[in-house]
Amino acid sequence: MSAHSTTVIDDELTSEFGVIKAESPAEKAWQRFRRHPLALTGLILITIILVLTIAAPLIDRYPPSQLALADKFQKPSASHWFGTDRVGRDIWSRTLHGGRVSIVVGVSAALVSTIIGVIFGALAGYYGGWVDGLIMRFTDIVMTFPRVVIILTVATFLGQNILNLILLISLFGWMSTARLVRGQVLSIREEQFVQAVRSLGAGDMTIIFRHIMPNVIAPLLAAVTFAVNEAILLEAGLSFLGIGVPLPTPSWGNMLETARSLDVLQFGVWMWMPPALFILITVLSINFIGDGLRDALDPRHIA
Amino acid sequence: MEPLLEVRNLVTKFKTDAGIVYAVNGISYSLARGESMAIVGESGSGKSVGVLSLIKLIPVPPGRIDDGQVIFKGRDLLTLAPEQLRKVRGKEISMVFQDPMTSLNPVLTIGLQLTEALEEHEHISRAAARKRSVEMLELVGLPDAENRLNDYPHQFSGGQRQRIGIAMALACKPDLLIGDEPTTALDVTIQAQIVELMKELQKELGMAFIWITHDLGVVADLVEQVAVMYAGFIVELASVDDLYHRPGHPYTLGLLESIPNIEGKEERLIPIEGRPPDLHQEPRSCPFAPRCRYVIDRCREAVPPLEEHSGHQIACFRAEEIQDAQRDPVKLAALVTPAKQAAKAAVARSDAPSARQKVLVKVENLKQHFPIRRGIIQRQVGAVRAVDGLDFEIYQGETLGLVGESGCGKSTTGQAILQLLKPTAGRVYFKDKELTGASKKDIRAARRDMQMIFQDPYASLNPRMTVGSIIGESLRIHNIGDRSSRQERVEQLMALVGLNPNFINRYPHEFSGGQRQRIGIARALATNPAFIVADEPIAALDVSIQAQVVNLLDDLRHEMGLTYLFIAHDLSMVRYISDRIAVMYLGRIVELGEGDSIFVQPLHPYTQALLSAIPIPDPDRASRRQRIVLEGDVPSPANPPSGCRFHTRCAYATEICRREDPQLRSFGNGLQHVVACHHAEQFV
Repeated sequence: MSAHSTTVIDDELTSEFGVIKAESPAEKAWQRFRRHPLALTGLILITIILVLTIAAPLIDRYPPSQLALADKFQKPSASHWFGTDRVGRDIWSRTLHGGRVSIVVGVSAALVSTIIGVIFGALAGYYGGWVDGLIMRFTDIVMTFPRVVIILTVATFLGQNILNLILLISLFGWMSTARLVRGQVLSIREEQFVQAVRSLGAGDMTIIFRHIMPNVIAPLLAAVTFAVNEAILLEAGLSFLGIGVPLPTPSWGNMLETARSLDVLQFGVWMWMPPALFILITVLSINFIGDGLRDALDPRHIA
Repeated sequence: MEPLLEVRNLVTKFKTDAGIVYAVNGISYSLARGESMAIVGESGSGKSVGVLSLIKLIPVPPGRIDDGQVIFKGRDLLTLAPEQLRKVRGKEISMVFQDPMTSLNPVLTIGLQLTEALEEHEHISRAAARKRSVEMLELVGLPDAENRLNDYPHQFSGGQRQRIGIAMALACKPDLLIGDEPTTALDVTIQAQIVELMKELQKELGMAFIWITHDLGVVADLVEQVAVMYAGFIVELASVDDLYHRPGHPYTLGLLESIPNIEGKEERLIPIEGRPPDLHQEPRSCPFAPRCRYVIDRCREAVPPLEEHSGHQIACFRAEEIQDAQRDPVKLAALVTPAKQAAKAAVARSDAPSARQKVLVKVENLKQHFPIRRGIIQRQVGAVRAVDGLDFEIYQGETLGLVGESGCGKSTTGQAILQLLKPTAGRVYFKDKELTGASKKDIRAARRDMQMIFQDPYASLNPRMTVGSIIGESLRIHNIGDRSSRQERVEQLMALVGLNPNFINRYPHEFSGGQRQRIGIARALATNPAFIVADEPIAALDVSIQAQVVNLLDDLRHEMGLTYLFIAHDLSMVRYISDRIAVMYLGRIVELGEGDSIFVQPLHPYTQALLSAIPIPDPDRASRRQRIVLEGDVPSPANPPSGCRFHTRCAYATEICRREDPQLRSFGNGLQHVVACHHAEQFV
């Protein structure tokens, strides 16, 4: 079926048969989402991953940081489902616990950076003029910062912890969202319906956040899913450099770090494959859900 | 004699994701050499697709010509090899398109675009092609043609561009010229120029032409034959006089009835009820039956064939009865199907003359200039004087019509009154309170009482919001009532404007154009305003829907005691709905008065020209009247002419007009009729 199609209601006919009051917009959106197979798959997978990671303390079989040098470097087996690492820690347990950190970092950093980006972008796009000039030049400047180097430096001052990591990732990750939102708002504010609500007496904030933003939702959702992916991967990268989540706390990122050594990469596949797979599944699921949401929130979309 | 073009049973369909669109369902007609014909229909009637199919200009896929023959000079164009068909296009059959802004390539000079077809088809040298191009441009009345060949399309005005488009189409001396709504995008005075030009060209060159339009008035004194199309069928085909005087198809009749008569306004418009047909269903019955007032059982069982009825070809089972009634309202009323009696003919208007006592809106010396900035520091180098000194009053309960061509500042005036723009100078009073200079908060509060209806029913509704929240938005903004009382009010409003309140949770795209405009009207009425600015509220609607919306506005005004500023370029509709009319030209009001006195005795040469450019859907009257065709185009409002702004196009201009700016002066017998012209006396 087509992505967009216009179905005109037959006023005369339906009114005679006394139609039942149409479903609410939220119900209709859920109907559209449900008919999106990939999005539904993504939702199921991400739910499983979330349940597993939240329930980690209940279903892990060893504490994630418990050393057991006698059991080091073991292949997956009945006692260690995903095997053990070079100091004998259980990979299954570390993967579950690591997910908690990575997902929290990824999702919160993405949300914070999106909020910053939306606010800056919307204000710049809506007001234009010097407001726009100021915000966009500031954006340009932040964009020229070498992100990893700055995070590296600042992290050493502020100390290495998850909260700082989230803040740093989002403070240096909102610029593309801001640019995107600005461009969209710039064109949508010229639409006649915006003038129409202005003529009703609506204030600027109502116009921006109630009337314009819903029309930016499609590209914004795409941006948010990218931001989640990017934050998870950035956390992995920073952990890889040793400035991410401090050891011994596990995260998918710092677990991957072990693959830095060639013999682990070649002969210890079980040690890096689980976090890699979990990152992949999480990122893909979020992408699919984003796709589904975009269609579900578009009232013109027919599944 | 063998006809030039004979179309037999042409069928064109589009295969889309949403199903098959039955665009053209077997149309047949023929055209002799040198004959002219109009194809009239609304959007979706298949008028353009039918003609584009002749030379296979429809996109394939999704389009597909399923059946039929197009015999042109003895061969079937539909079976021609692509290579041969290409030789027909542009040389033997050429086209003029609707939008002169987009049908010329903006990055090529017009000289290049003109000579292209000549070099392609006639194999003549570049110099010869240029010479021919200049001839053609002179033929279509483009001044200084030789020097302008190297100019780009943006250096010409809209009317000039359409002339260039016609010159291009004529370059190879085609046997058949097709105009696809060639004047729809143009202002009335420019439209009149182009219509005159076509008449002259046909006399001079003797080619046949087909003119596609949605406006029965435009073609009344231009063509010999008219075909009326509806839902992919030709429903009536007749000579132009016959068609206007003895229409035999209820749709033709409905179109004629829904256009206001410019000679009087006593009778209420009779709209065609319902909405345009859905082309996704294979037609098995008369496509017009659901909207037809004369419908009988037979109409719902079979598609009526196009048959000869005293000189017309008509596709209606009741053609003869309707033809015999000859547009007589009493006779027609007798034919109406009993079930549809309620909506029967000619209802007199309840036109309570508004007591003109209280001034609701007062505008003093209103100016709205838009700065033109250049360079790095954005220095102001000039200003577009969109509105340049307006004084007028709008009385409680009246409708003031504001007319003028595009760029005259009429929409800007509406927005400036509502304070959607910040006026450069002047004052606006609403209910004796000054709006200009009021605080932002006061203006927002005042918006409860003054609302706007917009032109484009598609762009003016937020596609992401339900109809309920769109209509209820102003209640929410002004904190009126709680959730449930607001919903109740929205449902009331929907019923008031003729929408089914059960559709409260639907989105705008689920409604047709006319229904969307009703949503826009309901939104404007939500807070019970006293004053509404209607900015071209019917310009984007189909002809048969326009009358519905105008009637609704008119009824609402009487029921709710509204005051309208009705902005439009369609003078006959403005006359119909307005009590007084103001005519604008280049940011100024040039004439203002009672609708009747303006139409009977226009005192400004510009008003006279505008009135004479109104298309009249009656070939006798259209050919009888004196057309004043204005020369040239509207000057730029960034640099208006000195003295009287109209003097550059005025036939009566004298020395004083170039020097002195005329002020509005009062004329007439006690009633207000003001005009800004130095020579107005001679028209009294």
